[in-house]
Amino acid sequence: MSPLVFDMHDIQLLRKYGICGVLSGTLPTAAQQNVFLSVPLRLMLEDVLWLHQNNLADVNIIRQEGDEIIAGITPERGAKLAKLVEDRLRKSFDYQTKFKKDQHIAKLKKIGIINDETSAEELQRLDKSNNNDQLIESSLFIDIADNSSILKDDSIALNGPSYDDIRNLLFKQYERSEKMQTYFLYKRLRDQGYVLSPGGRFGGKFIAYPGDPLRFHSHLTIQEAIDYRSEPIDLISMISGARLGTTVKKLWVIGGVEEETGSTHLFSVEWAGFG
Amino acid sequence: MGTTDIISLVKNNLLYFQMWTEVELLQDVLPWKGNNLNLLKGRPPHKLSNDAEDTGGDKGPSPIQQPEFILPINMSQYKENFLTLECLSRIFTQLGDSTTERILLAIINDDGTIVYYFVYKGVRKPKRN
Repeated sequence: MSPLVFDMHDIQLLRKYGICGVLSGTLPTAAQQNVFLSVPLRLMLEDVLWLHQNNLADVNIIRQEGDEIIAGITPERGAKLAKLVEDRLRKSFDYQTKFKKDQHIAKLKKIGIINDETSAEELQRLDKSNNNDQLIESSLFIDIADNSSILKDDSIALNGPSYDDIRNLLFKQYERSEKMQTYFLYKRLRDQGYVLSPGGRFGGKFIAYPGDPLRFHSHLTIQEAIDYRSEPIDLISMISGARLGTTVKKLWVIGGVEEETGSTHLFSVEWAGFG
Repeated sequence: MGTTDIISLVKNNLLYFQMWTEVELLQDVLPWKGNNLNLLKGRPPHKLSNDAEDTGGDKGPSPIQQPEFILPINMSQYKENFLTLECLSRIFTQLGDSTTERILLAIINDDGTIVYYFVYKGVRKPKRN
């Protein structure tokens, strides 16, 4: 399960809070080429927990699977939705066509083929002679909606579950796939002002930037949390991780939570430069 | 290898191979899971690459290096729940002094080779270069 964000304004707002996510539209298997990608923005589960804990994001529960929702659409509503999509597309096509025609005329004026005195008939003739309409039609692009009108209607309305219910549910969901302590490491670093991204590329759970990733290189590779008392540090992975870290200028960070006091302990490791 | 063996191995490696000086065993002992942990203290021969950049101009004679604290540890010890986060915390609080911000981990492989890693308390910026 990975949380996705489709709305550009939401994405901008998230970035202000230091949550950058990974753009994953069109080429999900080549996520490292992320300058070429588009919405949706994929977040980490930790991001959602943190946003919800800080009251920055609402979480809605959709009671049905996506398939069931689709199956539950009545023919009347289906027709309405189809018309909505059609209208939206036509509007977008009209807009693009007009834009292209205006640009074409501006170009013709610039190179002197027409001027302000050219008659409307002459303009029309020029327009037709070049098969412009056909050319334009083949170059229109199809605008895809970036949010769902179906889900908006199907999420649970007011007097749904309380804030605490949702938080418990989120944490339960998280614990199915991750260690709770890993979230506390995430939280600690976020609260210190670090921006965190998935760290698979550098052999960690997260990588941490001291600010916006477009302005800074990341400083830390954070490992999954280990138990403060019972789990040993794997020296082999520490050695390989810290060596890799030295070549990419990142400290290898391991940490965990001391259960009795709830305090988070973090240690950074780096190769000493000799031996 | 036993505790005394790895201590002398690391001490000799630092003194005669890495050319450190004033390497000595500290008296404080931390009993840990049936072993005693000791720290060595020593002075590196030159500025280590991880040190923060000098603040002043360094035209003068090279300044004396700050001593480092070294923890010798067997590579195999990790299998026996040995080096935990709790262990590191205790080493910092019980063996170092209050200003200790890093210890040098000397990890001994079963063929006698030693690799050295700095462990810092908390998160830290990587060196600049």
